[in-house]
Amino acid sequence: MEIVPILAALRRNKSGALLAVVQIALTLAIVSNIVSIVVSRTYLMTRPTGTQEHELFALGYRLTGGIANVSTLEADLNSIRTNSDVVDVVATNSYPLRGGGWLQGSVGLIPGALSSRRLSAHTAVYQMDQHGLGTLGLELLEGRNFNAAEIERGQTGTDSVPLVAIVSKALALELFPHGSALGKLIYLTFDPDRPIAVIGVVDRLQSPGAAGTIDEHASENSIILPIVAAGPIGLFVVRVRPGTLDTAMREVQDALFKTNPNRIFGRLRPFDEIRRTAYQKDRAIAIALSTIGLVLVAITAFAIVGLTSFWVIRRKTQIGLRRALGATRLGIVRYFLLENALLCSVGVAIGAMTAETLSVWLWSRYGTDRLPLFELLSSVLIVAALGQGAAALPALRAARISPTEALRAL
Amino acid sequence: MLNYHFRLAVAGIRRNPVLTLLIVAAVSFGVAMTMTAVTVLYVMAGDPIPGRSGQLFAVQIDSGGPPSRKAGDPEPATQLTYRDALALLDARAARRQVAMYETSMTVAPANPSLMPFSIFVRVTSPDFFAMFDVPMLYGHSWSQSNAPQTGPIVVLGKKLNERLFGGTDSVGKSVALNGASYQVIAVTDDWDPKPRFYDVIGGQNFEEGDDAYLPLALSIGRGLSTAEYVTCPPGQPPGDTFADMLRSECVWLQFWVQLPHQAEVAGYRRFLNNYSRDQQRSGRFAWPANPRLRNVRDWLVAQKVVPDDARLSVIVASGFFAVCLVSALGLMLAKALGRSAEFGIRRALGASGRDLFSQVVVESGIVGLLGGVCGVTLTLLCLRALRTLFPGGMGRIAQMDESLLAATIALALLATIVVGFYPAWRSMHVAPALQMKGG
Repeated sequence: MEIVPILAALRRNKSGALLAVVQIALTLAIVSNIVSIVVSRTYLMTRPTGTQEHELFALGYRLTGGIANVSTLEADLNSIRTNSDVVDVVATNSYPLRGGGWLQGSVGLIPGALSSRRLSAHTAVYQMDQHGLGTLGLELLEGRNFNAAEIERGQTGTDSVPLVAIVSKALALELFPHGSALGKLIYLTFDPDRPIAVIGVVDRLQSPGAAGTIDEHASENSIILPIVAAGPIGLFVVRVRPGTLDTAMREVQDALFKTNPNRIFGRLRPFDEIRRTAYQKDRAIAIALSTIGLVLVAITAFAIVGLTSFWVIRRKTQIGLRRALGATRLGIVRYFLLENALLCSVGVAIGAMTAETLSVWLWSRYGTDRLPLFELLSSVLIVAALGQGAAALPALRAARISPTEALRAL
Repeated sequence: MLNYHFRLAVAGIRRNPVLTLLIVAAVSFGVAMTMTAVTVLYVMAGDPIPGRSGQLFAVQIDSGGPPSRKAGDPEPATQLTYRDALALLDARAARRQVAMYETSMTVAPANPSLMPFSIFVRVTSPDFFAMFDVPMLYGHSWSQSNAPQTGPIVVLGKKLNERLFGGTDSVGKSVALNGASYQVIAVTDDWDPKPRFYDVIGGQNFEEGDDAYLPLALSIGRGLSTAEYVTCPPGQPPGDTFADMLRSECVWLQFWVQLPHQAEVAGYRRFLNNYSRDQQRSGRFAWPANPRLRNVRDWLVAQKVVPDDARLSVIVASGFFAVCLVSALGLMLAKALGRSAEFGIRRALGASGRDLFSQVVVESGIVGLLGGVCGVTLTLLCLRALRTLFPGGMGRIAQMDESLLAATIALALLATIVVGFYPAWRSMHVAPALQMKGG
């Protein structure tokens, strides 16, 4: 078709053509990697905790006076349960996405094998009574919840190793890859006389530090021990009826203040906020990178418009001549678009290779996810479309050049 | 002559405002993105304690051994057990040594109408203030000799002193912490190493510092436990009481030493190896000696204090800058070639190739300067955006200072002038006659 004259024209303007190619290639290489990073961050941020997040809030306190024992703790919990907006409440040592803390433990299949990785697993350790499952809204896949008799109650710091436990599916699979974990014995200590029986498996319960890790075991391995520890420092997770979170949070705080006024509250944290805080950095990075990507694409688009416009003006006479010799307007538009498409394809091809190389390098150095083919191809399409779109404007203007006007300049 | 170039350049820019605007935009965006990313990395990786970072060393003792970590990972725990920390303190094998941890306490303000609030207190052995060069606003910190004898004493941070005493000299006054009374013996001045290298365990490396400081011996006596990470070897929980915790193999204290001379570093390394071997001999460690002694810089690298995200953003930003420069180059080339006729006439009227070359370079310089100025504005906007996006630690980091301002403008100027050489070189080779005919 018109390839031969286009190639001839490009050969006359090597530096311009080269710049366009480099521009497209660089843009593609960077944009596709940005897309890949943003997508993987977004995936991290949307992993479910396994709880009914929209209906939950957490509340921590410290008692500065008064009595703090198992019965005052029960009184506190019962005063919360009298609230009609409250579905249930549980005293716990932590909750998913809370952040770090001394919660990581390891469980073993035999008492002495805790240090052997084949027979043990690291896990987050939660301490909750039978209200835990209902309050958090965990989905029980197998087995049953704790019953009241199984709960070890005591002051913080008293020695108590429970007889039963509920584990998350991820932990169950890691410990017992073949067959059900239900009824199996696990050990938290070296003591062979302290086995713990798995009585239930929940579908999902993320660890407190889940937001900071991409390691599936670190984020999903959890064990719930039926322990209630009373002491001057307490942490409650409260589940409320949908839509009553704001009022319920205040009322719960007031109710607790009534049972013991010598109480300093930590910040009341609705679970949505907990999630926001936990993933704040990932979210911010995703936003920052997306903005960079968009600005980059915009700059490339403007640069292509600028360059193509310039070539159109430079070749005004040539266009006029061709029009005078019988070329249609469509022919002129097609000429410029084809020329641009040629440059774009070369740029995109080089860009795709650069993107892949960059992605491999980032992956090896910074552990980012490898660039998936699908995302690379979408980026290729976006950049190519952008290149053509940007060239269309000047090409249409070129088509409007009247032959007589262009030839008069000769 | 430069004046003439300048006037011609301004005329040239005015003849082609859209193209010039695009070039300026490309340059300023590129510069702004790069500088924003570099600022963040610069501060994050910056030397937190200039002049001393080569003398201060973090100590790690492998008290957990291979069972406490992933297979193939030789890195011992970042913190020490209480017994190791105490043993190293007592040994006094370094010029200065400090064992410390952070605890959380409740302050009850003297004014009963004010609510009690929580603060973070650094519990530390005496050398802390001298070793880390902490400036004092009022009073003197506790020294080696008087710590155990005198009663409950506390050093307040400047911010807490402002909150409790309105910033006045509070030395000698008392503060209620966790319901007990502590006497203020000193108030620190602004002291805020970025990152907080001496305590990166919690990952909150860029957060605000400590509110107050308590002596280690006093706090241990009062059973103040750490508010930070406690890591225990698998299957060896910390026990139930504070005394159990002190005896346990759990790690929860940070240990730093000051070793001003190279010979002392080697000596201390030997000391740590010997200490580990003694533990091995006594049957406590069932693995070879594996201590670590790292200066501030190596420590920050080993603890991965500069988040990969910061480096990642610099890579992305550099790529961005490259694209912007290529855009600018293309546009500048277009602009220069578009003026071939003008250059042809000037050549015919006697201007030398060098004249035209410097003419175009001056034009690039002006565009670069404009780009730099816009780039500074954009950088400010980007940094503000970063502060809103990442509240907390980032707010203190994402700040513009004079050197950054100068660097932004310089980068824009330099980049455009370098990029401008090619169009300038092309302009130089305009053949006068051909252009005259065309015009």
